[in-house]
Amino acid sequence: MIYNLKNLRFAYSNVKRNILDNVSLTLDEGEILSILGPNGAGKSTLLNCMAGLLKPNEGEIFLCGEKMSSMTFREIAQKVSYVQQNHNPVFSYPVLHYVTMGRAPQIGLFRKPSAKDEQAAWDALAILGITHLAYKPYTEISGGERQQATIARAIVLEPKAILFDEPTAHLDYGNQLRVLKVIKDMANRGFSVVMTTHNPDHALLLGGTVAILDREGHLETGSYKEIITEERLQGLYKAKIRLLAVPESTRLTCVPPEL
Amino acid sequence: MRLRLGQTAIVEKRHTRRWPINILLFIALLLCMVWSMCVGKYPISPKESLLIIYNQIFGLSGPYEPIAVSVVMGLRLPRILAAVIIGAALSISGATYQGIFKNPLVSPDFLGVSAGACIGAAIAILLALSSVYIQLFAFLGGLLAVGITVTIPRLIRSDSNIILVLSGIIVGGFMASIFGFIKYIADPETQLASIVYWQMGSLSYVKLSSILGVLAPIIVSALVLLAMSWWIDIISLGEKEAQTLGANVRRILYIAILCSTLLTASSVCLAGTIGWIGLVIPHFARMMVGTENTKLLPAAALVGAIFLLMVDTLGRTIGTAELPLSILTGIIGAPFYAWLLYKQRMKLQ
Repeated sequence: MIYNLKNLRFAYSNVKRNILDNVSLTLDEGEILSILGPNGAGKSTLLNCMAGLLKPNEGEIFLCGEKMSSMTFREIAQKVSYVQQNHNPVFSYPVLHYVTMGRAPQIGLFRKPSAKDEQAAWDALAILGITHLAYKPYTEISGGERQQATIARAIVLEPKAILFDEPTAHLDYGNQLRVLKVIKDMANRGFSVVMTTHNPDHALLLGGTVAILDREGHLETGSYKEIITEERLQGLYKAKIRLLAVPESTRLTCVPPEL
Repeated sequence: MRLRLGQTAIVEKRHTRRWPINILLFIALLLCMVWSMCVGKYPISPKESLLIIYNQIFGLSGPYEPIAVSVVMGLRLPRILAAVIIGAALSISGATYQGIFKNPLVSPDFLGVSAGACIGAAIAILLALSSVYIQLFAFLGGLLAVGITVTIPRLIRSDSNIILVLSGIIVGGFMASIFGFIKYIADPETQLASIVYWQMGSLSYVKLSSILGVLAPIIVSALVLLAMSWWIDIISLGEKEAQTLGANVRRILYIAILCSTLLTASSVCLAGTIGWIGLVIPHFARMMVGTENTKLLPAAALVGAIFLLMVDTLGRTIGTAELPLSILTGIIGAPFYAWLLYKQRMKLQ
């Protein structure tokens, strides 16, 4: 088991309400977990806790069997990569350099990446199919390419788990699908994947486990077939969403109501 | 299933052909040093000046006029060395500040570090303390100034680039007032002149002994920053992201701030405040070698050394009287920065 979250409670010091309330969760190797929830429910907060950036007020997170509260950022970073949202670096580092930064948890404070680290970055670029971007400035490639570069950086150290905070945000439809495909591919390669999304169709596409975080901070998890039901979606998004089977496809698809 | 990235190559690394730019810059610096050694009111041939230095180092006597020896050893050599050291120190310091504050608009001047170091030095002069204390006070003054400058944005919970710059202006303005007050109470007979000298910035009176005094802190700080330059890139991604890459953000920030402040303060001790270099040179070097601090820091050091040496040499040769350094750095630095801004078309939030 990669992740084991036990009875987490989290509240920001300036807000009374619990963002996470008695949240428990497990994640196995190669498992995909999609987290759905309304705006402001605390999906990012949950990921921040799992990445060790925030400390839960109660409960404990076990990462590969180890208590996360007693691990350093460096130890956590060797096991987990976190692909955050709103990524806008000020300096336009080349993509290769940016991807190599993913090796940082293995590199000492007064050292620089070795030839092996750089080779690993090349390999990660190759897996994502973007070696042609290696020397392009990170700030000057498209949103979809940037997300692929970020994923390359996330896998370059071969972590146990990758956390994605809304990986499809700000991407056009084609790029959203490409990124989802990459995420599924990463899970097939053995990485455990956690991602937050606003689109229940993405959770249906990826399959695996789905968790719903509501405004009270309760988390409900199960296989996507159990969790994604019309009733839950309608309650979650306050809209008459239907789940329909398209004859040409084996999947269920969300159909929004008429406006 | 493990991928074993980097162990069995999936693709061949592709190398872009790179000019050995640092070697070229180093050769350019050496040529500039020889040029600067030769020009001035008392022209000396390159061969002669080099032979004088060689003979002096190895204690040989040569067939040279004493005046040539004293011009080379007493005036030009210390001045050239100081220009090279200060130009390099201020550029590394500026590039580091820009990286760790992820803000291409800051520099030792804009963060108030130079002004703070200047006040520290002035207080030490007021108290008639020795040169070691002048150095220490300059360092503490610079540290205090950068401390206040980075605290103001934290107090108002802002992460914006502009707020950090405004905060630097606030601190700079405050420091200017304190400095005015120090000049007001200083003894005009004995202290005022040396305090004003510190504020103006000049390489005219640098002695070899004072260079030796600041050499150790400058070399150590520069080497530490060069060694951790790759981590400055990581810090420049922002605190949260750096943490998810396993960085001990606070430790790296403290070390980087200490070292770059020490560089600035040591420069101030040697020759007073010299503006523009810490701001402009990192930008210029970025255009030459790219944004990665691993390449930027050494290149910026070399470019900064060349720039200050050329400006100082011009200052003492183009007119009949010597032009103060601050006038030339401003006249060259300010329009140059405007041009760089235009070239880079910086996107600032």
